[in-house]
Amino acid sequence: MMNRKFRILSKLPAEWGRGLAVTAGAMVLLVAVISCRTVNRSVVLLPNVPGAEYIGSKECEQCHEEIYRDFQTADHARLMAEGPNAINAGCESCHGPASLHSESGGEVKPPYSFTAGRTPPNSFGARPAVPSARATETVCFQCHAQVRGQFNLPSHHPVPEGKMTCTECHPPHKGSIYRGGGTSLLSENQSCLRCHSAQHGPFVFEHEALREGCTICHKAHGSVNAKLLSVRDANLCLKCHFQQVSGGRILIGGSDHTLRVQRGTCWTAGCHEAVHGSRVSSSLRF
Amino acid sequence: MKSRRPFPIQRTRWCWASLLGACVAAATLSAADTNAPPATVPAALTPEQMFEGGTDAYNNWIEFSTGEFFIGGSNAQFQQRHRTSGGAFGGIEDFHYQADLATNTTLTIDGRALFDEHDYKLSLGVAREKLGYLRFSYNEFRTWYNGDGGFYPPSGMWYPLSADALALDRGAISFEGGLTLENVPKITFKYTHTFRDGDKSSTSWGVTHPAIGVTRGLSPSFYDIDEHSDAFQLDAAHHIKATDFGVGLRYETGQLDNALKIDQGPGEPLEQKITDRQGTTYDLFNVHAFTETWIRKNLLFSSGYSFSDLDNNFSGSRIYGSDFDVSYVPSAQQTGFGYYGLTGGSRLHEYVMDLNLMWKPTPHFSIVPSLRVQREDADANSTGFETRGLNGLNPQIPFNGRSDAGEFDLRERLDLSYNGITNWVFHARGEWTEGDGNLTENGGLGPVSGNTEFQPIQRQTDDSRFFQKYSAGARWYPARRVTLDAGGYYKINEYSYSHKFDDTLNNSGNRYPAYLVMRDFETYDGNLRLTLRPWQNVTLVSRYEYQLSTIHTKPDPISVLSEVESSKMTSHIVAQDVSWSPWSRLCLQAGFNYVLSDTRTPASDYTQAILNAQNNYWTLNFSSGLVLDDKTDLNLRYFYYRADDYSNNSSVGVPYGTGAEEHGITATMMRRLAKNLRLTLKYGFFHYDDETSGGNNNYQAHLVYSSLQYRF
Repeated sequence: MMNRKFRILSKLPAEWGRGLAVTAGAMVLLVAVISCRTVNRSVVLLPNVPGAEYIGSKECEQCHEEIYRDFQTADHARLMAEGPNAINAGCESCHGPASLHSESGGEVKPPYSFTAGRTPPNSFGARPAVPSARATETVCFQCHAQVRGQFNLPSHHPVPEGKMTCTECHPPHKGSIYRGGGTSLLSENQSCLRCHSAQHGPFVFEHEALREGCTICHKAHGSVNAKLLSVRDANLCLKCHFQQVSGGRILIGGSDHTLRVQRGTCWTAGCHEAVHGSRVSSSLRF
Repeated sequence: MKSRRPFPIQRTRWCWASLLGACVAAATLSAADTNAPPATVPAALTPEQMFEGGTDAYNNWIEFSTGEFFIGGSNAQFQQRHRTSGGAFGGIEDFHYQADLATNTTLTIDGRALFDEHDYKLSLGVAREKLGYLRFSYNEFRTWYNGDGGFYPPSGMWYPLSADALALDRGAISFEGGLTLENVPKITFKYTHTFRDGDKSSTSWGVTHPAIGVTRGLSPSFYDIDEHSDAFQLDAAHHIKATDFGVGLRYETGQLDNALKIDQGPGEPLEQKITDRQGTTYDLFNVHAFTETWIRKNLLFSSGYSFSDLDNNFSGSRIYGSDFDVSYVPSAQQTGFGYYGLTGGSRLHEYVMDLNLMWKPTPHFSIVPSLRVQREDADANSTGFETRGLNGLNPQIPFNGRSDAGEFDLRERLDLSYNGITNWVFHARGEWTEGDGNLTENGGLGPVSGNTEFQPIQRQTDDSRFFQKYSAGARWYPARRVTLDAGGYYKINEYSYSHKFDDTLNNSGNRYPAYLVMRDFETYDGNLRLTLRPWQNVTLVSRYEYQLSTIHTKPDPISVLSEVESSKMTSHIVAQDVSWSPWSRLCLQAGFNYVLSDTRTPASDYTQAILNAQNNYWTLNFSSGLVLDDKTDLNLRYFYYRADDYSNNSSVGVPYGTGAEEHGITATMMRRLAKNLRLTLKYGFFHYDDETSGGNNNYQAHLVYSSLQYRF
């Protein structure tokens, strides 16, 4: 077995420690120097903007009547409560405090306007992908912090790269927060098949797992495994296909797979490659 | 074996540190030179002025950027991880222009063109209020895949595909026009051409022999993708009194010519290259309609209907040879099973209707019952020639397969929401699905002589489904700066099967496909979120979620086997965010994610070839923003990712667990050179260790980047 433990600090070369100490010292010095100066600007940590206050969603209704009306049907409407403590819940949960926007008759955009013209909001991390100035996911991650973690994983839909947005699959203003599934016209799988048409079928020999949805095998946002797989090894299939052990042998469908599973996953090397369905083989060989 | 370029990291680290330090020092000195304390306390800037960095705001801009990655180690892994070409790049990073062409008429142009990143975007729009709009859009971007196979630790054998990453381009071109006159139906038309072209990796690795007497699926494989489609969509919508209604037509035609390519036994005497090509042409027609009526201010009724007709035509082959994309030659097939000359097709008819009612009997209580009905009818067939080479001793044999299926599902849902208690919101939902269907399958591969591994089948199965999902949650605002969310759900999806006919006896050595009579998916989920703003300048968000899922299956009683819990999946998901602005010119943000995720099947009790699957990971993000002066910002960011799920069971299987560690740090300085000119300088360092590949996918990389934004 290889050494499984990565000790972060002990693994860093000694010079890194010196480098960190020098950097920390330089930062302290830098802060000390610039703190002596007076500037006209303060840091903007969205959604908070100096001078802007929360005014409550009712105020938004005056100009955005249709959106406000339809928002009653949205899953996100559950944010809204009666009472003074919940005044910032609702429209301003995602768009930020709107007092300046309201007082200016719409001239001043709210902190999160999702229109062009803004500098990139403060975002987390140091991935080299340049976050789009128009990115919406930074707002979503304020509450859905676990999803940001999923999008940081090696296999993920290209949301951090700005090629997809959260709202393509999760409409925020009306109805269910899932574009497909539930009682909406679009089924859950069709949300995925819009882009992944090769998996659409119907195949001559279907894989019935697809009836349970794409998410039975794939994570929607991100995974440590390639292809957004929820599991990388044969357990992905055995979740549903394990039934029997006899004489120390693993029997799948009555057939001895004890040696076969040593070779790799079930979908490796022509055994059951056609995981989404096959045109030629009922056992989904290929 | 793949060779990796050594990188003189030890020698260059201090150079980069010096460069960074020089940038910081320069920024500080620059700040000292250009600013003086104001005589009076300035008025608060508007958000736009704040964002733009001055008192003048411009609506349009163009931003040029250029940069380069310097990579040591695995180029391909870096390209895949960071979705970049991994070399020099440059061009227009962002362009936005908007102008009023005439009264109530607006022109909008947006674009992006980064060369060598294959990242292009252009959109043009003209809109006139109460008349209509025209839009054109083009976008294309590239995704990279390292394409590597596996690593066999005992012999140190590593199976890379190539030094450079595979690349897949995805894009779309669309034209859209809409007529939005008042008091007449709004009509929109959109044409979209989409494409996907290139190569991407596959996890269906091929067979290799990394040591004498050892057979493992480690050889790399990849998909050769060539897809394009054209879609035409026409929609009309109108509003009469309290009702919105609309109808739409969509026609889409497409062609998919994809191939899975596997290099079986690379470097071995019997190396075979397999091309599994699957072609599809399809026509999809859809008609849909909807209505939404606000019967009263507290009563909304909506409905929808959709009919789709999907018609596929198949082609395909699975051919072995000394190279990819060769023609079928019996003597070259060796021992592999395959086929060629596939023709066939499939057809799907889908009917969907939904009905929804939202009623608020009181201002604080809403009830939403809804209903969805779906019927699907599908049939498919294929014919071709099955092959098993045996060096040409066996002839090709015709085969055919066909199937038809029907499904009917009725889904009911009830949503309740109540916020009548001050600072509280409660919600609950129940969802029930009842369905039945039938499936008939006949034929398939198998007639070739000597084929004992699979045979043509005949089956007829009726199935029924009953799904239940119950969820509930509450949100409490105990104070202006405290929010507490709690929620959870329970879900059970029950499938039962009645096999009317099955030619594979369910007490034999080949019991599939008609084997199981029951399969249940069950999930318990609970989650809790606390948002705290203990001080005006501090925000804490904490979230925890627990999820437990099981799958139970029950075989046909003739097998004399009983119901088993075939898997148990447990997840603990922790997320913690902190935002703190200790000083008006400094903000600090940190985010932490920790996930423990485990999938257990009984298999690991009997063989170490399959271990319980671990998908544990943690990530750490840190960001700081510092206002150096009225014109300059400094931003430092750090990212850490760790997955420690690797176990070396290579003596009896293939170790798939992820073992990886990643650091990334960037320093960015932004300075407003003039009121309409911004300069950005960035340096980044990225370090990645990969245990699963035996270190072959390790890399270290540096990024230098600059951009210049001109606003007008």
